[in-house]
Amino acid sequence: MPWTIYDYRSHRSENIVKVWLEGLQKPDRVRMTKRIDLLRDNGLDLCPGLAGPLKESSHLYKLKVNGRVAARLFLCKGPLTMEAEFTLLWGAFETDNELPPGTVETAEHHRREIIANHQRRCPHERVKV
Amino acid sequence: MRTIKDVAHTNELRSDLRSEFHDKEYRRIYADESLNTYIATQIKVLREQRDWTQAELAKEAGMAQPRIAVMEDINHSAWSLNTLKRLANAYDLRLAVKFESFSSLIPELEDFGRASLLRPSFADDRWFHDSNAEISATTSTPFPDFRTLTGHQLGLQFSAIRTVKPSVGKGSETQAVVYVMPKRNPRPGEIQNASKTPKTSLARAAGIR
Repeated sequence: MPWTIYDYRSHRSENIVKVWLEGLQKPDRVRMTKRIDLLRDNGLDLCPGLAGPLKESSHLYKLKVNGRVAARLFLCKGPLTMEAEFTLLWGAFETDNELPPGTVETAEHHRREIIANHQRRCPHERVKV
Repeated sequence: MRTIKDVAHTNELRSDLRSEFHDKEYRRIYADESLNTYIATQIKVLREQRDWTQAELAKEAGMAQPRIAVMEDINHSAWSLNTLKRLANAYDLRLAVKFESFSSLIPELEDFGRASLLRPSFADDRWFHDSNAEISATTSTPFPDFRTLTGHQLGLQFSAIRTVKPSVGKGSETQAVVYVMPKRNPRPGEIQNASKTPKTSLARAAGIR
């Protein structure tokens, strides 16, 4: 049973996840698209290394692409229907295994915003070639 | 049992990839990533099928456990044919390496799941031990049951999901997936008036006589 994927939307209704994905170079964008397809088709349990929970927040997971840059896409299960959907929250780039300060906090803040206001997300928009 | 959501999702993915794969770099990377995912996931699924730990697999394959952990990760891409042969030997399976067309990736992606990755070792490969057993590459049914195939599997195109009310008596509404014949150019001699689509049985649409 496929999962439903959503993207976080800013208070201006902008799909900032899509904007971030569009900013990746094509090889990394394809790799991230493949990972989102795997997430949608199989959830988190089947494919080893697809995404793991963060130490800093048990609600958050991280999709990894190690290409020209270390692109990281943060997501959560639900947060409205926990066993049927994932929401993509925030994208960032790791340097020397370090995330920019405030990355995890931003993703967690976005998750809370969606719980408080369900309109702060939209169905995932696949980035075009 | 495929649900309406499964069918809609499958059609969406097919439509996306049919368009995206026209870009050479896109299809190359997407196929590479699919290969990495397939191998890493199958190594793990086969190990779990045999109730082995990573350390036990490492021992069977003559490798160190951390190397198994590296290979059981879809982010791994530096595969070696010799290493894969050693794993196949440990699982008592054969290794298959083939060149394939890009379109053949689509059904592979749609079937991808734990059940499609399981393989019996020689000792559990029934064909060698039971003269009545059928050859079966996986644990799934070797031939499709046409009664359970969805429209897209029969070569039709997804059109819409409609709510259907019962025509007689009481009953709850249900949802139906509507398929249409794929558009194609008329063959020489065919009537080119497409305003009326002839009624065609599902079997004829699927090319089954």
